[in-house]
Amino acid sequence: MVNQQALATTAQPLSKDAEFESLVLRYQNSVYNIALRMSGNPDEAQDLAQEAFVRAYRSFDSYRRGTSFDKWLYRIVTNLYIDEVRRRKRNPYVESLDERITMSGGGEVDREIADLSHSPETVYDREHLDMCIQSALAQIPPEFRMAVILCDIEGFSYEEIAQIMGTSIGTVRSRIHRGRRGLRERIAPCFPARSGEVRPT
Amino acid sequence: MTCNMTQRLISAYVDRELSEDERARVRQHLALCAECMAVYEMTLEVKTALGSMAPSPCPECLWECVRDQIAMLPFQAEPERSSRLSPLRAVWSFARLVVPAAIAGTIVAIPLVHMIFGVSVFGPAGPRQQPLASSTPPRLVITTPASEESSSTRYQPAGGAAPGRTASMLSSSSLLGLDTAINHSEKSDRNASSPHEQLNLLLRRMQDSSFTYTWIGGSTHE
Repeated sequence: MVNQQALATTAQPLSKDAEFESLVLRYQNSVYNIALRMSGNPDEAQDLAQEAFVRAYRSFDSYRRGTSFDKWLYRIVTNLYIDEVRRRKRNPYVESLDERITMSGGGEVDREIADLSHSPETVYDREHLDMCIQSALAQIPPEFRMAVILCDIEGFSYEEIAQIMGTSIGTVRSRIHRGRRGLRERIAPCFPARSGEVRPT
Repeated sequence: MTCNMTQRLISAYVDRELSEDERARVRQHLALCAECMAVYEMTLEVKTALGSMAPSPCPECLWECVRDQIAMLPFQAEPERSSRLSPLRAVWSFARLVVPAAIAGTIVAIPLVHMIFGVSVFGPAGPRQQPLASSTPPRLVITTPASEESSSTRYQPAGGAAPGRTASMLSSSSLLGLDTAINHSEKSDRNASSPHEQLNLLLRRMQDSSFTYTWIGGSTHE
């Protein structure tokens, strides 16, 4: 991981815009990656990352120099995404998976959905396992998902996650426990050797 | 420790976020319970799988898109200009505040100074020569009888106040707006009281200095 303290020290003599640009270039990959794991969709992830950086710029004056920029930034991403999920819950867009897709040039095609749990010859392929995990992540609540992503992908401690998500360490522990339990149940089929061993408790 | 309690702590156990005591109890239970051990192994596998997910490269245009959006923010144009022209902008912003305030203050202060202190701001040297004349309100009525070579001038309020009280009323008359008349009489007032005499003296001086007095907006010169 990047040393944020060192960045904050080196970035101080720069102007606001130059400092912000250097921070964006440094963190854009991890912000985009978190956004992608949260949303599961590259376009949505890009929109989310862009919006997070624009918001970060607008409140950049309130960012205390010398503190961890990435935590501050991830907090913006977290709040942004969870707000977006809540907004969608209020105005849900429901689409039937059985419906045929209407093409822009006219005509219709059947929707093809990958069956990730019944292809043992490919399940150990890295790409397919990632898809399996991504699919499982999308099925757990966003607060649990974010806690698990920050812990397992970004490597933050519970205390740091509590700071990012604005909750107590106990809440973080509970969210990670419940998030991983949900993931275990959904990812287990991707590991055929273990699928019969773990049952929901 | 029960299986339920152990499985609740397994995630924190995997993440090394338990106290030494809790950690020891979970470890003891796992050594004896195959089911909880399977949960532990699966949890570890999930954590490892998440941590080893291939990072997706960030789109190259991300920063460009962010920069374009930032440039469209309404307050963005200001900092660049201010950094380039900061001394000029500082002078301009100072002047923009101070000049209208100074003009407004002057407009308000002139009548106030005139009313309270009796000092006329405009007009040629009126106040310096004759404070009494300058304190005379615009409604002052000057009556000049036929004879010009009078040696005495009576100065009394139109309300008919006693001569002895004239001097004290003069100062207040400018504030109260009382009609005041100057009677330019041929007769000298031999029985005048001391303040009255002083007043006559002042008025005589005023007459000697070509009888000039002023008020805001113009002057009268006889």
